[in-house]
Amino acid sequence: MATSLVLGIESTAHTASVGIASPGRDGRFRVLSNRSAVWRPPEGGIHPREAANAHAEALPGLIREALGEAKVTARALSAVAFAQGPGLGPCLRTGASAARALALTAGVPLVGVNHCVAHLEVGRATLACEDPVLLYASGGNTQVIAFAGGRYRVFGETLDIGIGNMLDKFGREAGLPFPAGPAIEELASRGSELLPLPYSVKGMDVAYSGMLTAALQLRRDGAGMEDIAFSIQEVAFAMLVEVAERAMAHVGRDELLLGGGVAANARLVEMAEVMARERGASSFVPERRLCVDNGAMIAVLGAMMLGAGVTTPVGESAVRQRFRTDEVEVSWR
Amino acid sequence: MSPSLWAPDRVIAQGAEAVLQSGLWLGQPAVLKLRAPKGYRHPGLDERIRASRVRAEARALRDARLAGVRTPAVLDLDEPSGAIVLERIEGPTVRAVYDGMPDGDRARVARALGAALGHLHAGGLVHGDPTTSNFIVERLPPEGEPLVAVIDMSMGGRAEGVEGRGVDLRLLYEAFGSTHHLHADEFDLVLEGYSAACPGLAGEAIARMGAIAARGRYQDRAPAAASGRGREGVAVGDGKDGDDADDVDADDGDADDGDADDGDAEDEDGEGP
Repeated sequence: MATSLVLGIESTAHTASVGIASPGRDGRFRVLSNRSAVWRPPEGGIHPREAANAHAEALPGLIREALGEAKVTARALSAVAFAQGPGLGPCLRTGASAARALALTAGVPLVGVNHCVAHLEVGRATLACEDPVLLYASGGNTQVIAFAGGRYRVFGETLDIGIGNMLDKFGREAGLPFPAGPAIEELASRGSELLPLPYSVKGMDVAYSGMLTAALQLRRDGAGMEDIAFSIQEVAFAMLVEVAERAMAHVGRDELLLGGGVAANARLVEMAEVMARERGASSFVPERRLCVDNGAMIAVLGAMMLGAGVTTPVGESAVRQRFRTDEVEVSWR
Repeated sequence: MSPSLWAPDRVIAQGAEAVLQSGLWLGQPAVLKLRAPKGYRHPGLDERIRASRVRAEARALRDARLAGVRTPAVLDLDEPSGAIVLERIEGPTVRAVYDGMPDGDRARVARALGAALGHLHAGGLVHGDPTTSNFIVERLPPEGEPLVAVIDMSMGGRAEGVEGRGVDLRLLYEAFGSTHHLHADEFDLVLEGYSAACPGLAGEAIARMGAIAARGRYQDRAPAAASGRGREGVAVGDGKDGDDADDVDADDGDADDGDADDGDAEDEDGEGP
C-alpha cells in the first residue's frame, strides 16, 4: 500500500482514547485524529471495573469520531493498534476487545504496543529529537527510559508510587479536584516559601511516599496550601530533573524528552529546559494532548511496528498488566 | 581552598552533578570536583543539597578508607563553593572497558567489582550510586586479583541495616544489566565476588536486593519489607538546616510507605500508567 494508516486504542487507566496516525515523507508521523474520554471517579481513587465499563461505553463513539475527524473509513485502515499494557486489567481488556472487534471487521492486523514505549515514540515521531532520554512522569508511572542495545531500558524509576499518584493522593486528602496536578500547579503559582519536604533520590531512582506523608503533615500543622503546593513542585520536580540529568550523563545523550500527564506542568517543563540548557543539551515536550494518555501515541507506535513488519496474532493479543518497558524487542529503529 | 594550592590542568568530565578537573594539589596529582549550582533548582534547595553532599562525600570517603576500601583520599574541602579535592586514581572505569575485555579478564573484573562493594558493606557503609562508571580498574595484572577502586561516594555513607545494602545491590544490578546488557548474566560473578568479601552479610543483602526489585512498578510485589532508611534525603526549608549529615539522613523519604497500598485496586489512582 502507498501509505499506512493506523488506528490506536488507549485504555490503560482513566483515559479511553482513539487516535489515527500515518507516517509522513520526512520520517516523522502525522496525527490525523485523537479523541479521548477521561473517566473521573465520583470519589476516591480509580475503580478499575467502573472505569472499564465507562471505557466500554465510550470507545465505539470515540472510534467513530476518530475516523470522522481523519476523514477515513475503517476499511482504509492498515492496522489497529492497542495498548497491550502495562495498566489496569479490566481497562486494558476493554480496549483490547474493541481493537480485536474493529480489526476483524476491517480485515486488518492487530498490533499490540507497550504504553510506556508509546509515550517515548510519540515524541520522537512528532518532534525534532532523535535519540532522547525520556522522563516519563504520569499518575502510575515515573520512569527514566533510554534506548540501549536494541531495547528501551529503564535506567531509573520510582521505588514506591508514581509522582502523579503522589499529587493525586495529596489532592484527595486536601480536597482538590481530580486529577490534582493542575490544581496544585495553580496553587503553587501563588506560593513562595520552601517548606521542609524529603528529597529522596537514590542513584537514578526516586521515592515519593515520604513526601506525601510529610506534605499531609504540613497541612495538618496549618501551613498554607499555596506554600505546600509550591514546595511539593519544587522538591518533587527537582528530584525528577536530577535523575533525568544523571541518566543523560550516564548514557551520553544530549536530548531530553518529557512525557506523561505531569509533563503538562509548566514548572517541570521550565526546570527541564534549564537543566538541558546548562549542560548544552535540548529539551523536548510533545504538545499536551500527546503527553497525556492518548490514542494517537498508540497509533504512532503501531504504525512504526507495522512498518517493521510486526503484528500481533489474535492468539497473542491478551493484555499484559505488568508489561515492562524493557521486554519490548525494538525492531523498528 | 586557596587558589595557590591548586594548579588546574584540564576538565576530565562534566558529570550530571559536578565538573571534574584534573590538576596538581600541592604538587600532587589530584582531582577537583566542583558541584556547580543547578539553575533548575530553587536556590535554597540547591544550596542545601550541594553543601550536604560535599560533606557527606568527604565523610563517606574517609570512612571507606578507614574500612580498608580503595578510594581516593580527601585532600581538601570547601563547602560554600561545593568543592572537594581528591587524590587522583589512574585507570579506566569498569563501564569503559568491561565489554571490550576477554572473557577471563571480564570474569576477574566482575568479581573484583563485587568485592569492592562487598568490602564497603563489610565496613558498615553503602555507596548509594553504584553504577559501573563509579568503579575504576586501577590494576589488572595478568593473573591474580585486579584492583578495583571505588569513586564518587557522594550518595554514600554509614548505613546500618540490610536495606541500604540491598538498594546498593539492586542499583548495581540495574546499572550493570542496562550498561553491559551483552554480559548481563555475568552479574552472578559480581555477586560471587561480593559474597566472598562480606560473607556474613551477603545472603541477607542479596535476598533484599530481590525483594526491592520486586517493589518496582509492574513486577510481582514482594511483601512490604522492613522499612529502611535511605541515604540521600535532604530536608529543605526552615528548621532542618542539614548542618549535620545525620539530620539529613533522618529526613529521608521512606520508600516503603507506598507498598501497602499498591495491591489494592481502590488505591491505584493517579492519571494512569
